[in-house]
Amino acid sequence: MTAPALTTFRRTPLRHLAGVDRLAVAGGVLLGVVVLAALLAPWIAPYPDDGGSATHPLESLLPPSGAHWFGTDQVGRDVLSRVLFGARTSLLIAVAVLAISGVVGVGLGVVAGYAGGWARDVIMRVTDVFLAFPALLLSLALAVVLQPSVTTVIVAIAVTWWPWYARLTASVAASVATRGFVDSARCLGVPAPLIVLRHVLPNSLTPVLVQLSLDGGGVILTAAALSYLGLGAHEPTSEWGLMVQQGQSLFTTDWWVVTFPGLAILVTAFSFNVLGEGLRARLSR
Amino acid sequence: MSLVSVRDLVVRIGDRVIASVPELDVAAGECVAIVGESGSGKTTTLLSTLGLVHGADVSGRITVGGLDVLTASQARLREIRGSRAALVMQSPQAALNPTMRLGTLMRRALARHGVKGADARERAEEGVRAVLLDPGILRRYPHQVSGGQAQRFAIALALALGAQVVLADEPTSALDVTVQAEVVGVLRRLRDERGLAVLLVSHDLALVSTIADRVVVMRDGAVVESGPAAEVFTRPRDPYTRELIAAVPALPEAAPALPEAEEGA
Amino acid sequence: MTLLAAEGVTLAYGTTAVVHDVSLAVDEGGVGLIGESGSGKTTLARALLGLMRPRSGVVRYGAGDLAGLGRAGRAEFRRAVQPVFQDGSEALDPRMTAGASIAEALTTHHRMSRTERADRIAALLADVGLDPGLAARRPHEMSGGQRQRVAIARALAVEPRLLVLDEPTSALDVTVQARILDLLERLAAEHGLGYLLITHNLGVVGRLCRTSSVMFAGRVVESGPTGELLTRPAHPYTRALRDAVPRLGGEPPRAAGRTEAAAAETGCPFRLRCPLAVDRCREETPQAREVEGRRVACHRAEEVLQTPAASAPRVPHGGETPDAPRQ
Repeated sequence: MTAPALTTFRRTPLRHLAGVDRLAVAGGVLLGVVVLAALLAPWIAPYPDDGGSATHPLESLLPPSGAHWFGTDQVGRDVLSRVLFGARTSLLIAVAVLAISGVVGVGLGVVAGYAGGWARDVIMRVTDVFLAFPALLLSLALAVVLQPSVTTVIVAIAVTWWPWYARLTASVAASVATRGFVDSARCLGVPAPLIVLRHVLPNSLTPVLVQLSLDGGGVILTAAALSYLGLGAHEPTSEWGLMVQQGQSLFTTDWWVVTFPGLAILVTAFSFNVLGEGLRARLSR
Repeated sequence: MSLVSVRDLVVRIGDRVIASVPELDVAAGECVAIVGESGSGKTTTLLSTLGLVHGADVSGRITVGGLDVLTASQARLREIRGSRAALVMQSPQAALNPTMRLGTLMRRALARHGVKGADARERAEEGVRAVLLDPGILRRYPHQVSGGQAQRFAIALALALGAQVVLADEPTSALDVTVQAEVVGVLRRLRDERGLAVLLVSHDLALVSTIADRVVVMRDGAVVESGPAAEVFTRPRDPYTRELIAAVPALPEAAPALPEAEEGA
Repeated sequence: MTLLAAEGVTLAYGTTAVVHDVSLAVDEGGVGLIGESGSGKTTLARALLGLMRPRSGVVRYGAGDLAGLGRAGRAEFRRAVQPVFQDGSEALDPRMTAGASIAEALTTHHRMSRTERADRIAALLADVGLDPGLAARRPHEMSGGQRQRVAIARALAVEPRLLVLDEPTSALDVTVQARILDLLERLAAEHGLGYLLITHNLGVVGRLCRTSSVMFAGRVVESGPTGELLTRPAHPYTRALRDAVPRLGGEPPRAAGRTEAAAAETGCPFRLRCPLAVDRCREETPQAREVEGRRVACHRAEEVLQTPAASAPRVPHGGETPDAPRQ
């Protein structure tokens, strides 16, 4: 068994698949199910306590059955319950990373793109420095320095993620800045910060939104990778990457412990990608 | 004999008629212009004659060089486009492959129609000269020539392929006024000297009046007036034609009289 | 009175100068700026609008240098000078309704109550001949002519004294063009507006502008009363432009000489295209001088005026057209 992902997935060429729209809907529905599972975990999980530190030594490593659909793990916790609670952790990480890196990246990018000149040069050189490191390596280094925790994972990934949005936004904003309506606003005497907020930002956002939704899957995979390496979430938090790591040695004998969290990662990452691809196809029409 | 003949053409998208032309003929050595504003159906009509309208129902009868366009096979249509009738578009540079020299483009097009080697070179140079370009232009890439040169090259390509009909869609509206005059001058000369048939689509009445023998005025998909150019421009019958004519900004007449033209235009 | 003027303005993108030492004054009443694509006319407009700083020379607004205006002076300049660009769909933010676009102009310099704003928007739309109901539409829900009218209403919202009109009709259908020109003519008269009209269409200038300048390769080659320029050009380029304009039912237009030839680097920039070029044109750059009531930069302006017809350029039909390589 190998690590779930030692590369970060930034782009998935799904566009060539036929019926992109139907796929997008499927992706949205799938993601909706994951979000619902995360939100309702305390109520729908058959053994809510198993999402945390409960142990049931006598029920360890039971195969899937009517009582435990996904079986139980080494300390007897219900895997289904932990997968459901794990959705909370994974989505929290995904949303936090995308929000932080989106706000920072878009903010710096739109300023760089509109202002041009030295402001753009400074911002772009800084993003280049960040982009020069392989993203996962930089995240790894940061996570090693900081205490392993969910917050660490969020910070470590966000630091490597924002430059992409800064670069994308800067190039879009630079072309929006040359449009007639921006000149027209300048000729009215609208102050530059207002021009950026009112005209440049809203008209630069579409490709970034598409990229953000495409990247959701990548964030979840990277987070799982960090946790798998012991640098992220730790016991007793339910986290898919951590569960895969803990269960991998049991794959040949007790396959359910690693398989279900692995599938959860796969399904969630896939649904983000499909949704983003669908958005792109729709918005570029 | 008409090189282009259109009868009872109706182009529909769903229930909406986007172009309806009862009758349109272009004979050898004649220029017919379709005049109208955006949405008038003039470009649709032009594209129909080459079977290039997609996503719409086309009915009626269209013949180009004696061949029925609406019933012809795709292979036969491809042969017509080029060897009999050539399309000249608004921005020719966009239509030219930027990675190929003009000469290469010309040679490939000729090869597709079975002309190769020294013959091809001769035809290419002859075509280029006919549009008053220097054959040296064949060594250049599309981005190295001006808009007017590219437009004339597109016409040269048509000539080299042996086209008897040129279908031109706003061929000068992307060009500066001085360059416009050159392109139209070339078309006029080819019509007069080689008997080229020209079907021209334009919104520029003044320009059309300097080349067209006959004019078809279209509005909202329908023909509102047609007839000999001199008549339509001097005695327009339809109010819309009158409005179009009135909209052309007039230039004050030159004080000194111009001398006799020393060559037939 | 001169409201806005360029004085010896040179403009450049990077190291490439596209406007060389141009002087142009816009007073109350219409001034035309004629030129073909690449002549630098739009770049000059950007400098006059304060969107671009001159490499050298001065853009003068009222009595002061535009570059030296303080905060208050700049705000006043912004209110006084407004642009109308070629294409209304470019000039209006695609995400804003017509009403919001006009409201932005109204509230940039003044506070205004909601009802007052709505009234002003309706009045402005009516002024440009639009139904006030159009305020709720976005640019893609309007026709080209409607968009251009909204752009004009937006410019008028700040009650400017001068409009810079950059090819305001060239993206429109002919009948719509005529109506927009009617509108501009009426608004300029009603509001006492000065305007600079930038165009390649000589007919439009002839109708709307008392004086005009002709630009070639970033230089003003001739300027003076529009009627004079169009009926008796003194510069061979003006003449070539004029002769190339097709006229309804008129003679076929003349091709304007060797249009592919580039602007010359030394001497007279027009000399490679000029049928009258002599050795002197290669050696000495002609300076603008006063000739029969206009300023013209041509060594042989008197000859152009006197024997315009005989020396008019023609494309040598049948002969080859020289091709100057373009880079």
